Amino acid sequence: MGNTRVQKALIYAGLVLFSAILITPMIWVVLNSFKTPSDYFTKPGFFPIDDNGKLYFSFAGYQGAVAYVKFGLWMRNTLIVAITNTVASAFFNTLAAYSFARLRFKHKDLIFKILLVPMMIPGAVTLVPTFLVVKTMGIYDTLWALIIPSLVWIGTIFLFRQQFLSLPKSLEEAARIDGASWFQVYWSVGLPAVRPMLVTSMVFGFLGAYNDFFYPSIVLVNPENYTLALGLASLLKSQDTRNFHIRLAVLVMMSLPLILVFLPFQKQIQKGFIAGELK
Amino acid sequence: MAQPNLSAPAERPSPGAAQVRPPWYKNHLWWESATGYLFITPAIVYFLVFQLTGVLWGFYLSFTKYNLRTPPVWVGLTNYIELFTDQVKYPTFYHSLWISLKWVLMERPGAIFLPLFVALLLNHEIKGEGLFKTLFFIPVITPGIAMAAAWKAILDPEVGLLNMILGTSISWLKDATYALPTLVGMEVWGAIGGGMWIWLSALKAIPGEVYEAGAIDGATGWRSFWHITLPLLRPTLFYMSVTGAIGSFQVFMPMYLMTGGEPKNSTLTFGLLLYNHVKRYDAMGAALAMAFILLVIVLVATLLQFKFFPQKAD
Amino acid sequence: MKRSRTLTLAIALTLIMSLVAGCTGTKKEEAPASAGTAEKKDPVSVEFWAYQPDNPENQKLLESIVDEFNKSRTDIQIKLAAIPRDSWDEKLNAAIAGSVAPDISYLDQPKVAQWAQEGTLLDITPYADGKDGINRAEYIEGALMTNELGGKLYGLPLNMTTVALFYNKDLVPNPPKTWDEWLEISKAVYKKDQVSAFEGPWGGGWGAWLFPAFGGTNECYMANEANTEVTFNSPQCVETFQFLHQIFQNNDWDVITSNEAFGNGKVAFKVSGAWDVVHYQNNFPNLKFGVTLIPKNKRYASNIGGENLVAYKTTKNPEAVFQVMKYLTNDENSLKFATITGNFPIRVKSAQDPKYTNDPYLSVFMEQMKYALPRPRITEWIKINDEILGAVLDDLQQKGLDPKPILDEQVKKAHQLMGK
Repeated sequence: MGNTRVQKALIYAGLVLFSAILITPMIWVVLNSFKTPSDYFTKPGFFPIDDNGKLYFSFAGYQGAVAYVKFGLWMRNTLIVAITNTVASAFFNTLAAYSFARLRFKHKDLIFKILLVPMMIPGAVTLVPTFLVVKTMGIYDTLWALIIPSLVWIGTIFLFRQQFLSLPKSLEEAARIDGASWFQVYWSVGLPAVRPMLVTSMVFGFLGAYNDFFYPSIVLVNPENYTLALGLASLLKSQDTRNFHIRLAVLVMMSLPLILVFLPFQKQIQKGFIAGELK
Repeated sequence: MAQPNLSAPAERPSPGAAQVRPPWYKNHLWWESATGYLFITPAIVYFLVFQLTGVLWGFYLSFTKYNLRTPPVWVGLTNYIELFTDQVKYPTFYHSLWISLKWVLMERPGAIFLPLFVALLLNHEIKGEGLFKTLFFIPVITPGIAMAAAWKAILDPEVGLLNMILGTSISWLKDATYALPTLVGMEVWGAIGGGMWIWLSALKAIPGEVYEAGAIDGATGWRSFWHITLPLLRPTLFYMSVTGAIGSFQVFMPMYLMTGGEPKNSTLTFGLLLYNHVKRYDAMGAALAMAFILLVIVLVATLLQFKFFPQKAD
Repeated sequence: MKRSRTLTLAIALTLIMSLVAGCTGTKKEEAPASAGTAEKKDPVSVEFWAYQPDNPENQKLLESIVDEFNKSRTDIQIKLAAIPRDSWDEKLNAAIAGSVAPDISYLDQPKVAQWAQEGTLLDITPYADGKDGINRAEYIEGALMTNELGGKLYGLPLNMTTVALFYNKDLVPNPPKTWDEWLEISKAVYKKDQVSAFEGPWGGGWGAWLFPAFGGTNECYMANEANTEVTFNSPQCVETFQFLHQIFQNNDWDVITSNEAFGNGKVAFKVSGAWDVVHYQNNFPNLKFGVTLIPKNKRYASNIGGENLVAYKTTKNPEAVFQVMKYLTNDENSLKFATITGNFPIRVKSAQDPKYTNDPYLSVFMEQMKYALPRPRITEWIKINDEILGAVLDDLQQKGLDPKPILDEQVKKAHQLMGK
């Protein structure tokens, strides 16, 4: 089986190459966060090296970051918003997607296409009307303003419609014949079958809410309601060069927990259990 | 059995399923469409409240001169006519459309197929799959706003890593020849991780027995990919293609962060021009007219894909 | 059905979270009310929007200005909102459109005239001249003037800034005072692929924003005094472009576009603001640099920038609002805002603070500000700046095309844009 071995080697080589390309900028960020501010500018390489050529690690950036960030409060707001959005929108979006993919009703495809249209208008001009709706609903400057407009996202509905369309129908038909309601079929057959994608989409949804500062900055005023990304927006985009080390440290502090939190989730993206159930 | 108004023939129940029927069958179709509407109700409510209002608001104001602070002034079709004909007022209108088209054509293939390639590599039940998945995830979690610093260092003409590897001294972001392709490269870089997760999720949902059945018929390796995997990925490919094109036509963030449309307007996309009219030139009415022109372009592109693209796995 | 249970749990969790979120919403609304009942009368709340400072010390300094006021007053309380600059314009405009504008906010200098004219801003003249008003002579005249329109006052200055010439002392022992000297030194320092003369800025909107600083030194002005015509095709401007092209001849593009080219000693000159003084002092210990006035041909000149403090017409308590504006721009706070924004103080007395007069770098900027020229007060100016002037800078300065016909063409376009 020499052929397979060569094939495997090539696959590994490809994966290593892609990994290297993908993580190089992040490695740069992590290493530079340990530089002193002056070395950041005068020694533009990857490693924090002092004048004698020795490797060192300065924690000044991290100390500055801890002093700056109202981590507790902002993190709490961020988690409330991100978790609520992730879970609730996963439910509403997949439910609608299942309906569009599997159920039969009048004008289904037309309705679906109409729902897609607002996606084609740039956010730069829909921001103000969204703001006005939020204000009219009386949720301006509350966390609800971040939650309610994010409960449905047509892009995700589209994604799951496509996933449900690619499932073999035999599975659900069996359940229907057993007398299960459509909701039961969606819940216990449809959803589990697209579980890898469900996990992926929830992870992305969480990240979107976690990292977005622009929309929150429009609908929030009171700093008590700020999310982490909003509170840190100016620092992360800072032109004030005295803070570059702090900025990189904050970036690392924002990103690393996510890697740790999502490490277990990558295991969920494996052979769907649909395969097991069919056997 | 009359089945009017069924949208796609593929969704008719297979004849076998018609043999055994629950007692409430006579309400079957009625019940099914009622459930169907019920399931999409949250989406419809959301659409009506947040999106339709916005579209109508914007459509009306695209016929006005408006700066958000003073009452809009009705100007009829002026904004639309001037965008197309007034080279003084909108000197970069056609130019930016061209840049956006170039962007879509360069960025889309890379952002769709490179992640698929990586996902296929990973889908070989190899050791260390978890490690690679995690590594590929890293660019996804990092906010783009903050990666700008890393990119500037890597792309530096004198001491940057990229020029060191290539043995060149190119001002990647400040040379009109390279700036747009460089931004494309950064965007594709950012898309690999996320796209790979989506592709991999779709790949993992393909039941193993499909391959087993294929193997019996002699489909392995490339043949198996071409005749079994790819058709089953079609729905996902359709999704990536449609939503990707919608987003890609509107692109402005990478340019806003890295080049501001420079050098020599070589990265001035339509999305950025529109954003400049909102933010810098105080011209919401004109920006909205641009948005609806863009809407028509993207809508045509989308409907063409719906018409000609095989969106279902068959 | 273990999985279903997980999802059910997740949804239950959502609802709980939502409740928590709801509580935070209501709690927030109650907080000021309960604070109010402790007093006999509810204090007047003045909402103040500021740029979100981008470092920890300045964030604290900004909060301390507000806290100090709130502690000393029972009748008025400032409610501070720090908003990222990236979303500032969108947020402010949206808030005005949705009638939730703040009472007072920062506003970029050149916008004040336009916003005053269209009726967005509050005319503060009666309060400024009233018994609890201000002494106008205590503000630097040029800065205060940027708030005036038709003899009325629409704001108070908050900070101001300008740009000057940075030079590398190792490469340039004696800084140039005139164009001729500048060109001579530029030719002398240039070493192919190693040292370039001038980092810029050159093209695009940013280059166009800075061009008037060079033009001004040759009496090349962007607009006539009445702001009815643009004039950047004058013989003086043509000359300026030809001069800048000569300077550009002593550059290598990859050298001047490399990161921190000036800081790392690769270019001799750079035009920039005071923010870079701190940057080079802190981050480039080996760099010996000086700051000098932008070399002149006919006169000294530079451009002016900064923020003003304005009140909105929708405010319910103009008197209280003015008291807050007055407090925020007093001698002491004017110095603090200069620090927070990295610009310069706008009070005559604070400008004499040793921090500015004794510093070899900052004092040059103070001097340069005396020659600063305001930006044209033309509604379409930003568009002219970006799309008309900015569009030809590259060709004129870097390629060295004949400026006259190109500038004539661009001026014609600008006049068309202005509806002439």
